[in-house]
Amino acid sequence: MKSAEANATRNKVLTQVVLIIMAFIMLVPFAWMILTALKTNQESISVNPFYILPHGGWHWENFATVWKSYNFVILYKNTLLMIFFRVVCACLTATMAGYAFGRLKFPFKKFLFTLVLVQMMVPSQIFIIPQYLMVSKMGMLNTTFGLVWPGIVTAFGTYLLKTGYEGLPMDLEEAANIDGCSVPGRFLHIMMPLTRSSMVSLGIFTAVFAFKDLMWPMIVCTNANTTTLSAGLAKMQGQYGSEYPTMMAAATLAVLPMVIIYVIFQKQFVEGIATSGGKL
Amino acid sequence: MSTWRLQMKNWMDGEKEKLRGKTLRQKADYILTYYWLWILGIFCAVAIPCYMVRQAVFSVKDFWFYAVYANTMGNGGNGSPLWEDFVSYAGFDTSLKKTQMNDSFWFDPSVSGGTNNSYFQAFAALVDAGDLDVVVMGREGLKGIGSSGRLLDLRDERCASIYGRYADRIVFCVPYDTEYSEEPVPVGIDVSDSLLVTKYELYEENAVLGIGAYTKRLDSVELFLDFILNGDGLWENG
Amino acid sequence: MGKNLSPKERTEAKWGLLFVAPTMIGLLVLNFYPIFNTVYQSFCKTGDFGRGNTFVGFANYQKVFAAAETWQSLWNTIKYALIEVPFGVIIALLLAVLLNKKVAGRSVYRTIFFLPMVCAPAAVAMVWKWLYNTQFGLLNNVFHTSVAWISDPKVAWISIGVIGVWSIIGYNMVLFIGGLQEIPGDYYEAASIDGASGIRQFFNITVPLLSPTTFFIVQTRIIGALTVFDLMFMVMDKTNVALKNVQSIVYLFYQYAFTNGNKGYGATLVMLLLAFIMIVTFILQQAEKRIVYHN
Repeated sequence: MKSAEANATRNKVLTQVVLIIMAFIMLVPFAWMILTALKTNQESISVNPFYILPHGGWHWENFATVWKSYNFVILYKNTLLMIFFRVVCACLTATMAGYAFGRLKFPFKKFLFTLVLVQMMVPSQIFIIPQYLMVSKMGMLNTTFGLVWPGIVTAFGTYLLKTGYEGLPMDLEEAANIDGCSVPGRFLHIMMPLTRSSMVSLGIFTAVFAFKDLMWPMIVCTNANTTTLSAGLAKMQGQYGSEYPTMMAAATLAVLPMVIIYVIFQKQFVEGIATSGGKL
Repeated sequence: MSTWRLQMKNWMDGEKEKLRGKTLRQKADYILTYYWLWILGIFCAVAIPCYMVRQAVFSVKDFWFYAVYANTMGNGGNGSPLWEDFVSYAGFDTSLKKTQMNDSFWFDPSVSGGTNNSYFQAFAALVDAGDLDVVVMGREGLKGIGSSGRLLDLRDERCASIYGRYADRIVFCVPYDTEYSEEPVPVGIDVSDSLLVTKYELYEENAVLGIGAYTKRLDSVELFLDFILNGDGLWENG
Repeated sequence: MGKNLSPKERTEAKWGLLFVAPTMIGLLVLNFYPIFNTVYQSFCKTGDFGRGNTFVGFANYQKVFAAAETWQSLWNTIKYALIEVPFGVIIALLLAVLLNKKVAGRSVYRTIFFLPMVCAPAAVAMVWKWLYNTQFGLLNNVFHTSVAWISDPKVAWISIGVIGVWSIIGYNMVLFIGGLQEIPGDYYEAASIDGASGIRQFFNITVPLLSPTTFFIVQTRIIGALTVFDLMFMVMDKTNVALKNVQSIVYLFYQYAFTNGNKGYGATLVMLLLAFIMIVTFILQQAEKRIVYHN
């Protein structure tokens, strides 16, 4: 009995050691970003590996400089609006298509799913020009809808949720089928709640990719009051291109909301199926 | 078709039965739990096409003029003094068509790896989509863009008048595509002494103007060249 | 629709088509129209200096197939995938399993592992360039070596692969955690009562029940690794002597289609890549039936 306890303790310590090492490796660039933001320009370009912390005091005023030179409130608002609509659209269309591909029999299913896969196989650069032309021809440059446009459907999300639905036990739905529950009824009330955690991961990915996308907002929303964080900071990157502290301060300010959103959603994500799955 | 109608009727009856004897709040709750996806879906299916049609019909889509000032520290975007002055000089009615000026592009085709960024990708997309009329940047950078064939060959008959008028300012580049020409191709017009440098201070050293390869608005380009090269004198006279 | 379908199957087919309709219409407009455009472009010499497209038939294909550079970069891409996919998947799976247990501070760890995904690409590139710097870099200073990590053709592809693994771990982990959440906890309880050790539980319960998620990640990551671009875009530039031995096929596409403005040739490279990935995917889909456990 004693050895089992010792074993458990040893396992716990081992786990913590592995996690701490990995956490350290993953944290380096983030820490680097924040530390650079607090240095002077001179310090930031020194490549001496042991010159990590700012020496001549911590320059918090870099953040103030960045905050003052940009209307961050508008940039945050535009970014959040775009992310919100993209997440809603992606989750909605992908969950429906994922359910159909994962659970229903219908004609041309294989062929249609191959098309979904093909979309992921081509480099995304080839989509930009035609998509830009569509938005331009519809007169939606400088609108939120123009920003959302390429993200209203998602091949990746469809595939992700298809996997989620396929993983659920078959008998669940069969029982409901015998009870005479219609297809949409089964989908809405039995199957969809069970894939909540897949949906949250899709939401997180959609948000992160939408947030990081620089090129699309740059060509679609060129006005300072309709553009997003990443593109809004583009001008700054040029202006302060060689001033890494200012650039990194801007990058830190831009990333913060994403981290906060993730921390909030993480709870959802972790508790997703763990609770409802227990009832199976 | 009749079975479909029968199914619908059965379903409606069933739902009516379930709603009977409930309070308004309970009814709303019931509908929201069971039909929220439908409500959202129908809303989207109606709202999105309506919005798109509205935008397509009523919004201002066409451009009078689209210019990109690359690698500038100055202010040359929409609403800047440069923009205001040019619009009033050219007499563009901005409620009919747009005049777009964009000063947030940063790339340098003259150095290795200088085009490995999103700005250049966005710029290339603008040119290839045919929306871009004019790009202004430093001499070496502009030659770099020119080499990739994204600028109009000024010997083209469509811009013969521009080529003729500014023959003393022409900048040449050597194309990557040797099948097109092994000789230097005229692609840029030197505007280092223009208002862009003297008055609006977008550039400090040299500035060269190139014309987008797929532009359809060469008359606007000519107006712009008039404005930046001779505009100041006309201002004072008029 | 077939005539010998039961009414139930017929309604199912109707609903199935209705459910995929929004996605398929969207993909058709947003993605397949551009893809067809690219197919067409690959048969053209695309216009330079405002000259417009000229149809050249298979000339681009002949040039692409004849160029040694094409095959070298295809091989580079495969090498990169061989590093990124296995290591990225295994490390992420390990972390996800550790974090799925009741570990002290697990939500903190989860947040930390997520951070690289949102980190500004410029910061990521800066850090790695600094780590790899030959003279002042941390790696060479700590190990007292003088390896040119990203400009020696022999090691550069591994260095790039390491960055790839590093930046993909958090992403794979988020997906794995999602998959692990969907495994009912009672399986583990039952196994614990039977006295199965943690490692046996991992191989007997986690691995088979997680196999759909694993397959999904492997497949999407193979596609992702074969279309790798951003990494090289940030870290490598044209003067790097190792570029020839590292550049992926999408990087090559970018150099031709964007930097040099030869879109027809670029489009042909995309077609070659597409054909290659389709073959790989076809093999994977065949393998799925044997490897993946469906309950």
